[in-house]
Amino acid sequence: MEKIINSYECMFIINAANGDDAAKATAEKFTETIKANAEIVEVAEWGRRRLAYPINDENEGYYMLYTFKSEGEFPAELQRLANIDENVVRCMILKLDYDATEYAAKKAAAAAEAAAKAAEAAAAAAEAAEAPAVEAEPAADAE
Amino acid sequence: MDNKVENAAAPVARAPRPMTRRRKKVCVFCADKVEFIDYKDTAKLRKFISERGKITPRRISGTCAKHQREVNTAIKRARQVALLPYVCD
Repeated sequence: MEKIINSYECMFIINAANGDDAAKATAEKFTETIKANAEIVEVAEWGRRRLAYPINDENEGYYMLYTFKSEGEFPAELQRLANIDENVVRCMILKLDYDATEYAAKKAAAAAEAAAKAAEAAAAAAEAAEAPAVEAEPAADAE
Repeated sequence: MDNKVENAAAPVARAPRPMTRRRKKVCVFCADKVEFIDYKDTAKLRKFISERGKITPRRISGTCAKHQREVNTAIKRARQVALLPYVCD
């Protein structure tokens, strides 16, 4: 039977009480684990953030967000490992109902388009800034 | 039978309410043609929770049934990862 590859999104909250470096080390460990078992699409490091409510008497956490593609067994294993690790405060894994790679490509394309549009707008604005300077003189004449 | 007739007559018997028809609210997500509601977008989700952290009902927020369901799951997910509070006072 052919193996089914799904897209997943996983958000970690790592204990930030021992400093950013300790949190980063834990994050690195999980990045390696995911890399070994799945195809990583995107890793977003949100870093230290305030929690909406205290967890284990802590008001801050170190956030990591992974988007990856793997077989169905891996997320369960990842959740198990996260539960064992004492430094992981929360781990939420969601199955995405769209293809992560396609979505990332679409997002990148949209961002590029927006950037192009912004550049165009900036160019137009620069042109517009030049134009009135030229037009100002005839207007003064007309009066 | 009698009961039914009475009920039907009741609104007429009561003092006539002023005819202020409220405009129908349009679902924000339908208007924006949102594909899916992301739990990470706390700025948007914050509009759908009350000061106490409760999820606003459909009759107040005006979202359609489909999007209200999605807002619900998104808020609950955000709560799990401490992006939104369960309660605040």
